[in-house]
Amino acid sequence: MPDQENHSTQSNGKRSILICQALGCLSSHSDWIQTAIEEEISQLGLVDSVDVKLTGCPGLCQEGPIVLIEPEGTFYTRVKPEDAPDIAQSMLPAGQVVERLLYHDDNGQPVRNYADIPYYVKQQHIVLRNCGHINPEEIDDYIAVSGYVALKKVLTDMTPEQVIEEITNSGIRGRGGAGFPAGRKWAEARKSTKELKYVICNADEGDPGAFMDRSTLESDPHTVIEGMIIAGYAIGSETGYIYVRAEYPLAIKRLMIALKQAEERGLLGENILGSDFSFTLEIREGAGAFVCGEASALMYSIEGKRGMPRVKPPRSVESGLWSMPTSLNNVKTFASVPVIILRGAEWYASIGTPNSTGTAVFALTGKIVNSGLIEVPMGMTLREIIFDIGGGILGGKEFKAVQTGGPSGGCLPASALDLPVDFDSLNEAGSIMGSGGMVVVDEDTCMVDVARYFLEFTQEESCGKCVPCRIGTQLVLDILNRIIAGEGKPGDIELLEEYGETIAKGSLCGLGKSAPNPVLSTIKYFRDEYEAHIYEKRCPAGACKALTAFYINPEACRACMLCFESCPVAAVDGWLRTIHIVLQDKCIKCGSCYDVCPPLYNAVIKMPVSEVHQPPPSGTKVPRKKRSKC
Amino acid sequence: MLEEELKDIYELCVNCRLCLKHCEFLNSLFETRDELVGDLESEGASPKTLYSCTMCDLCETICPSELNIGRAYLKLRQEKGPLPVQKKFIDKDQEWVLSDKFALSLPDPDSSECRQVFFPGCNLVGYSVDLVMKTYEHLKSKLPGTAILLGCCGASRRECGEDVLFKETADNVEAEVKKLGASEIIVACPNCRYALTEHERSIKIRSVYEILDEIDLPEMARGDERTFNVHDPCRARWQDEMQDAARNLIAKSGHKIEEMQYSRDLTMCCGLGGQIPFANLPLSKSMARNRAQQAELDIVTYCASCRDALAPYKPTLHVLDLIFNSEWDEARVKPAHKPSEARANQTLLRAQLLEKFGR
Amino acid sequence: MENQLTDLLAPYREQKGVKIQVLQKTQEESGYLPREAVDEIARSLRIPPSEIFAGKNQEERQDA
Repeated sequence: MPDQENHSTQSNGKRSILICQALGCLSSHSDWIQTAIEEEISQLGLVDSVDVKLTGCPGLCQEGPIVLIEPEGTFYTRVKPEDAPDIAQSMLPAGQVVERLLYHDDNGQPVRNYADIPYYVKQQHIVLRNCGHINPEEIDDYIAVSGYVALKKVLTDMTPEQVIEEITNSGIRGRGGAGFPAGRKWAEARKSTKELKYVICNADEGDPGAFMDRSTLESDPHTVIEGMIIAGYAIGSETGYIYVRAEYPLAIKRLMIALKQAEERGLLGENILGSDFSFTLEIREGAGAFVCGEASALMYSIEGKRGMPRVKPPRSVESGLWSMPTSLNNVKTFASVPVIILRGAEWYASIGTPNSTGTAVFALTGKIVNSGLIEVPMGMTLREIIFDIGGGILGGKEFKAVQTGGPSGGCLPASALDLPVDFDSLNEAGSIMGSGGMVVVDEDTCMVDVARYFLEFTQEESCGKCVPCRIGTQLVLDILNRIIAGEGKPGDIELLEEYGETIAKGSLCGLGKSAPNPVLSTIKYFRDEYEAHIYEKRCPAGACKALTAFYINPEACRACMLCFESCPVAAVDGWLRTIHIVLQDKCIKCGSCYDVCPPLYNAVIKMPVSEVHQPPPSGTKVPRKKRSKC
Repeated sequence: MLEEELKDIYELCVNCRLCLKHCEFLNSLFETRDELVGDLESEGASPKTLYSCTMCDLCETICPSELNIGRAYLKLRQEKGPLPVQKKFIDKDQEWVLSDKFALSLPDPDSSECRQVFFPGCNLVGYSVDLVMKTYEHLKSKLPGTAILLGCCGASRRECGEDVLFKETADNVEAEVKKLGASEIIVACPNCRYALTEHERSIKIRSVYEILDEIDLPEMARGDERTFNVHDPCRARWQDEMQDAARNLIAKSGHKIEEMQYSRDLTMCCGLGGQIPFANLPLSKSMARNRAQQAELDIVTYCASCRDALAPYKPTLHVLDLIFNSEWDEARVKPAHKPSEARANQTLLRAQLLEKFGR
Repeated sequence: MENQLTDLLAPYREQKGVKIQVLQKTQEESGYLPREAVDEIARSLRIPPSEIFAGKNQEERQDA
């Protein structure tokens, strides 16, 4: 988004009001906003000069629903249908920008143009270049921003070998997580002489909390389609599949519309753009299995078989779908292809680091001020991403760790904040780039619990084929659950490390091989937290319920009754002017009292269960501070 | 201008909503904290909000940050002055009580010195001349050198926002006490006490209940033992000693007490405070009714206004009835006195005092 | 029910690897997978119902 030349998709000279309707904003009923604005524009008689359009995700999901005005680039945040009259009025010749809807920076100053918003300033959009600018359901919008020009160039001016050379020289590594050089994969697929070949786009995006692929498909499906057609041409395939997880109905819907429109324009099907290259694309839906994001399991799933990975060799580029050569790439990899073709490998390789060229897309989530989608050049440091772009930690709390790569990845502590983000440096530090999930946690997050969370997921999703993965993950999960319940034993940490090694070594596929990563990386960097849980029966973050008690400081309590009212199990003994007391034997550690106690009093504190002391007698009065009338 | 009060609210209010929940005035007029703050910011735009607060200080007591909404409205009343109907009534009333129809300063004829002055106030007189006479006589006998002063503490002026007139009236009471040569005033009404302590005074101020608790009670047929609920008048909210004394007196009279949930510092106003009957009679009656309904038993209180406010809804006694009135059983259901009765009683008391103790 | 299912199955008759897709479409129609539908689908795709309940290992025959 930020650094693009001409953003107006309007060749008709009209201005446009673009309302984000990717899943995030849509969940806040941004479609109602569009309807409301259309109504207002019509009433003001502006239909001839202003278009009101659906658009995809501009990335700053935290501030949604987002409405953009082009070509000015005005960026409105947290818009409600009730704001429609004001927005429509602003489109009049003498109309003023609706300042209250603008993004306001840390100093409270309004920022009008999105390119000036701190969140966007350091980003560079290649995969997300059209997201938030075009209507994903209108192929003409895509065409107006050089859509399918790369395809045309490929079909008229380039041989398949030249295409592969360009992709290879760009240095782009697979954005699905493994980081295998895409050019090399395509070259190997091309080499095979079997009669059928397949191109597959992996849109299974199983990492919890990741939504990079989903957003891209919802906001700019054509770039993925174009990339796949080009791949088909390059490797000599006529059939492609987009494997989308069934839990993405909006992405599937937008893809289906895009495919249909592409077919109608002769960009898919027989003799594309009048050449003798034919290519068809079909959608296949997943059915709820994380393991089907693994390439070989995915291909079996398309074949109608159970989704379980297989031994490699043979690799999929030699024998994949239906035992035919198959080139499988991630959504973001395909989305980058048209840009690489148009702007050249040299340009792409100049971005990022020598071994990790181009940009990386992250879903920045967790305890961070600006959560949403970002795209940055490889090599930017974690510190810049989290603090400059992400705006730092919510509530002014302390940064504790950043988790990258989803269930296959690891947690990196504050000492790693100056690491440049690229495939190799993250690997060396004990994590992985993965598909782009980046979760930031703060001082209130328990790292043992983070490990447990991911292991619970991986254990559930293990296909069961390999004993070390199937049983090993359960054993690891059991130990973590025991530690969190306060039943950790000496030797548990060593056992976790041993199991972790076995699981990684004995597993056939990436799920198992990387399942221990969250545990091993948290032990590496946060061993003291594990030790506190096991030896002191204490959770340093105050998060593990079995080890943490909530206690009301009698000297700070002002008897506001907020905790009394919020407690779901009536475990607070309190009344007007009377010091409140947590009844420890009733408390379920939900933390509501902790959350509602006003910061002005800060009376509810978390403490290790063993340190809870006797509260004052029930009915003790809160002393009056003001001078009594006498 | 409510700058200071609003600043405190912005900084210290945590939106616990306890005031909105427990105060009937706030509850009836505002749903949210923001509505209340909006009203204060617009300086109490409607007379209904501005003159409906009874100034009972419940808000300050239960507020975790001890914010006092009543004081904010009082400040606005000081800026805007009273409602015309209030002004008319109170001007007339003050004219009467400060005239020689009522006002009287009488030293103890049986003593050469004057240590303390009994100040019965106006409403207790309106309730019962007999109680005032008997109380005075008892005090005089146990504490030689007790004068009696009839007048007004200026509470109604204070509550209407006429702070200049209020100070004048209250200062005058102090002056009369000093003129009598005394250093202590014994008040019968918690309202008088509240009003007289609003400014720094160089005389000691105590309630008759604490005094009575220290001296012997008169011999009197006490009747059968009862159990009562105690209603603490709102102006006695923070006076632990007065609250204790009243309870002791009930016990010494041979009766038992059951505390209500909202008692002592959490007591609920009877609805007569703040001169609200002029501006919002329905609220006033509702508060009285609600408070009376909180009592499961007959009520004993130690403010004559509270007594009259609650009596229509539940049998209510003044604690002095239990001590000095052998017919207290009937007094429980005596109807509230009217203004004309009050005037008559005030004149009668003055005459009786002059007759008995005038020199 | 049967007619609906026949219509649903028609386009998939000659295709490979359609089991999951057919099951998904059926679930979309009925909100769940009715027992009778499973039998009908198995018959139509010429696979034993057990393959629908339990899936099939990769190493076996490649159709369905």
